[in-house]
Amino acid sequence: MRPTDSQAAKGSTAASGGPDIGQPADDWLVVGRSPVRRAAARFFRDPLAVTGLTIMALIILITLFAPQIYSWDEIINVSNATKLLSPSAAHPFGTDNLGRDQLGRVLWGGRESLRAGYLVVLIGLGGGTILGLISGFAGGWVDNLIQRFVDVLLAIPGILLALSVVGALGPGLVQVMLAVGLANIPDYTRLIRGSVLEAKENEYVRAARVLGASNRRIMFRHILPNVIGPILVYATLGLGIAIMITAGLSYLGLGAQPPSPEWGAMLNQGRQFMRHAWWMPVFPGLAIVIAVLSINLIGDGLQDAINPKLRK
Amino acid sequence: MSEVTKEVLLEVRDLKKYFPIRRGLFRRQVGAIKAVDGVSFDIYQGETLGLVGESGGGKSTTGWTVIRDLEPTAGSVRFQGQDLSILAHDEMRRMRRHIQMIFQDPYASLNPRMTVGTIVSEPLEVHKIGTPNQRRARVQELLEIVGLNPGFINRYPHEFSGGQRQRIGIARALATNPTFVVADEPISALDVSIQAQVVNLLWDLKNEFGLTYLFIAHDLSMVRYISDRVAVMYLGRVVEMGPTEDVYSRSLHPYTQALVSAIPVADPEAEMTRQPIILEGDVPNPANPPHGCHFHPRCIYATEICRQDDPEFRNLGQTTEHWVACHHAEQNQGHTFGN
Repeated sequence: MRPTDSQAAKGSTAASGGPDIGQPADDWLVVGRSPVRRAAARFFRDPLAVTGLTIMALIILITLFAPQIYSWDEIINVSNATKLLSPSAAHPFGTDNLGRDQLGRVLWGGRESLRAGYLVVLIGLGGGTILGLISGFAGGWVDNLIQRFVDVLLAIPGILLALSVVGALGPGLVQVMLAVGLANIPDYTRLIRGSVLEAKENEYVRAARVLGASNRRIMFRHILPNVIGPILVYATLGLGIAIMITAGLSYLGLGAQPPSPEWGAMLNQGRQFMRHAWWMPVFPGLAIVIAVLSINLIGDGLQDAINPKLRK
Repeated sequence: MSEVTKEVLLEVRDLKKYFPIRRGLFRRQVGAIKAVDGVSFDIYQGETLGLVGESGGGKSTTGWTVIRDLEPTAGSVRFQGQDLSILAHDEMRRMRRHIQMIFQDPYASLNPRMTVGTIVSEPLEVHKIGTPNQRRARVQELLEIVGLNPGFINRYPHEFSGGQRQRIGIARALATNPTFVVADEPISALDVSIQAQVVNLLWDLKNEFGLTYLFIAHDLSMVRYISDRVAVMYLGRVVEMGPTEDVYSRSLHPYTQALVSAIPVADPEAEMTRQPIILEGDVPNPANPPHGCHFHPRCIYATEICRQDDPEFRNLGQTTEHWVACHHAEQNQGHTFGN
């Protein structure tokens, strides 16, 4: 008296088309809509998020093709003849105090700034994910050890940590990326540890353990996929902050060194000539604002897409 | 009922699970919640042992400790003669292909990010059984066995109803051809209309694959339907155990009598005359159980000896084994219920 034929597909009429009671015909191709795909669908219905994504894609595209438009020499070589020209057809963003085309430098600078941002987030996310997973999953003295290490890192203000790393290794964009990335690790560790503590209490984790899954399998197959969503949102928003901080450190002269066209460094340079050449600080500044804004739009969109219940 | 060969599959002896209560700055242990406090029972090859009792009585903890998802505080669990409680972590992991579990909440026990196929084939993958193609075929076979369309293999759990999800959980539990399955309240999260379907499925599967169940539940009528024998738990101890019909119609322990008297009867006339025994008070705090018989503060027959001495777990059955832990069990035999 097994009620086989009462098991019709429920809530998926769109995919299966009609009642597929009893005999499974040829619906092997019926593929469920995964949580990821449903989130993606929500994301692309959000106009602000799509705007952010479009702008970001454009920025990446333009910076990728920057070398085709301006050669490295063009934006590095100093020329007295073209010094501090205001924006014109030949130089849409004007030229700087050393006679270099500003548009070219902003485009090339995007390569530096974006790469720095991504690497910072990658270091923080990678380190934080591994530490947080182990910490939350293992518990006990392992958890204690990692959390005290994180406490120590957290006790030092991020900017100060960055300054001391730069102080030890000397100024430069790579050092700054490393420093900011390291300073990011505690935040990610805390965040992931918290989610892991919650996720590991799920019944399906117990189910995996009972059927004999190893700890590593449980961590990476069951817990990580279920905590990574909110973390990615945080990482996206963190990308904007990372770009700002690296730019900020470059602005202070600790990051990218001349003649590198990093946005923060350009802003710093432009500051000195602001009263005579407004275009010098304005364009790199605008670039930072637009890049960070688009990233934040993407982050907000992701947040809503992953967690539709939180939407206002 | 089904044939039960008298071969012991699982032997639980004096099993204890205490949860420490820690307080203060140094997390000093100030006491313990005695969730399972000296439980002993055997499960024979091919039978279903029903484990019933109130919420908080330690039923589920017993189940989890038996399969060593929780480490027992004391006692032993022998599975096919092998003491599980002394197995090393890896050995226990390998043993798990023979011991599976069906969970209470079909919504929480399936990973929402895995497809049905991945969920059901996970035990096979973990225990390295078969090639990917064989596993896939096995998953389709399993889905068919539990009454689901094998074409659902690429669907996600959220696309199914509660009853269907529980079937997925059952398919997962059966994947490795286990000998012993702990069903931890497998139907209590389901609609009443679905409960019978799932119980019937479990019944069919048991006969088809020669499974042995530890069936944990608080729904007494369902337990009566599926179990060969029943053990009644109260406050971490088994107070009565015996063949299902004996326990239901000739209850020896006043607690069992109260439980059985609370079952509604389908016959309206009998239902009119049914007089449930209403237990006074709540289940006592398991961190500080009453002295003597744990049940005495709520028992209508309690006398001085119940307040003083722990009752022994005795076999009072004549032809069958009917165990009870009550000082006055002999006198209480008159209280039978006709349902």
